[in-house]
This record gives sequence, structure tokens and C-alpha cells, in this order.
Amino acid sequence: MYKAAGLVFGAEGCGETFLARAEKYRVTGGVPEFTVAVTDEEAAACMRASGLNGDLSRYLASGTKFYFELIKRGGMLLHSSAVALNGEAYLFSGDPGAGKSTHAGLWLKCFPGAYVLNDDKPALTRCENGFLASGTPWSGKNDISRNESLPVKGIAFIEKAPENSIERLSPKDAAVRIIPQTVRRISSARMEELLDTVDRLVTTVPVYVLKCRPDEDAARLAHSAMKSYQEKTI
Amino acid sequence: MKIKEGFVLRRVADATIVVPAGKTALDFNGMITLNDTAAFLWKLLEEDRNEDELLKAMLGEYDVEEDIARAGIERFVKKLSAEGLLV
Repeated sequence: MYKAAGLVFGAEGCGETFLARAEKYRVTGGVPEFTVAVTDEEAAACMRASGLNGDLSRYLASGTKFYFELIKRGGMLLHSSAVALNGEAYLFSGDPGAGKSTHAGLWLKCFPGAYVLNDDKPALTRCENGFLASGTPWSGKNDISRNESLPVKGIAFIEKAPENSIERLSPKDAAVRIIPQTVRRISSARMEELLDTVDRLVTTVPVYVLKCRPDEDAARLAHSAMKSYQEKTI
Repeated sequence: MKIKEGFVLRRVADATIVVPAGKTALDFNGMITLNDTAAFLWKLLEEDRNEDELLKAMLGEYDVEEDIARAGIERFVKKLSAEGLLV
């Protein structure tokens, strides 16, 4: 049995890669909320679609199933690199090749104590004032993840640019960027749940666009803009 | 005419957003944002309608001149059709 993003679950047919990467998420005791089970047919279909070998196909399919269960429970995944610093999570998202992991790496270099929570698909779950980001066994090809959940301080969409700048997005513009970076092929009912979660995300968590070079100045600029954000009710 | 099956319309952060779900996501890779009038017409077109029915509904909902409403509907229907969203 395993626990990630606050969800206790069983696993069947998820393959060796899953078992290795899920080791740090293993728990004993408790009742699983659901089981991530990959059948032979599903693994074969995933193999045909992805071109990966059998074991990695099972790993990929198991992730799809886990994140599907997450959507049903009011959570979602965001394709992003999540950096932890001082007990809070900073998420860097964007299209493939935009420099998410590169920017996350710059934070690790610039800020002592920073580490990567999940380098590819952090799970986002609702908490009292916003969202928590969690490491999961599905964290990209380099398998960088920690079994922790931290409040999301901000989300920045990275774009390559000759000069560094950061700007806050309106909730609407944030939603338009977030939707393509989460799960796409789900049923209408699941999609409605997912969009409600996106609605809550963009109205509780500040979202930015970070135009940047791959340098430490960009990391310092992003950090100073994102860490100072405070929600005040007067 | 009617909107194709497999699209989900939802209010997200003061915007009306349409995304494909299920198999439709394979054919239509993207998302549509609609203004208020477009969202009104989209919802009507989730069931089979002709342009006269759309016009009648729009004149009932909005304080707008008939010519302008008719032109707006034609533009919207043309766009939907060009994107292959109608059956």
C-alpha cells in the first residue's frame, strides 16, 4: 500500500519501475481508498500508443490512473517542476523545452535549503486557504521527488526571453495557461470536476508569467516577486 | 445545426471556457474562450437549432436590434462551422 498527496492506494500490475519509484511512498496499515491496477490489455495499448517498453508502459498507465483518481477527489496534476523552499512550494510550468527544470535548478543553486519536490507532475490538492503540492511516484524521467506536501506559494509560467521580467496573470489568463498543462483526455464529468478545481486554483493561488534567461538573476527576480505575495483581508 | 458531442462548457474565473473531453480531445487539441453572447448561443446549440430559433432567443435575452443580432449569429455560426464544431 502507498500514500501520496494524502491518498492511500493499492497498486497492481504497475511494473518494476513503479515499485522502485514508489518505495518511499510505501505505508503499512490503513484502508486503501482505491487501487491503481494496470491490466495486460491497458499496458499493451499504452505500449502501442507511447512506443515505450512494457514496464515503462505500465508505469505511465499507472500514473494516468492515479491522477484520474486525484481529479475525482478535487485535485489535479500540473506539468511543472515544483521547488520547495522554507516550507512552501513554488511551481514552474510551461511548454516542453521552456526551461522548467533548468529554472528549478537555478533556485537550488541560489537559495540554500531549496530542493525539488517533484520535477514533472506534482499533485495539487485542496487545503483550507489554497492548494498543497505533493511529490508522487510519477515525477519525470529523472525520478526526482520527495514524499512531502507543501502549500503552493505561486505558479510561474516560464518563457524564454532576452531580458528577465515577471508579471502577475489575471485568473482568466492563468486558467487559459493552466488547462493545457493538465490532463486532457477525460470524460465530460471528470472534465467538469477538473475545471472546477482549476477555477479554485486560479482564484486562490497567484499565477505569473516569467520571461527569463537561464541565469541566476532570473531565479532571484522570480523568488523576490513570488515570496512577497500576501493575501490580506481587511 | 448543433454543436458536436464531447465538449464541456464551464465558467472558470469570470470566463466561459470550452474544452474537449474524451475522444474529442484527440480531434480538437485546444480550448475555446467565449464571451457572454457566444456562451449563450453555444448553450442553445447543444441542442439542434436553426438560425431563426437562435435569433428569437437572443432578442428575448438581450436588448439588441434584430439586424445586429442576426449578423452576430451569422458570424458566430460561420466561425463554429469553420472550426468544424457543428454537425
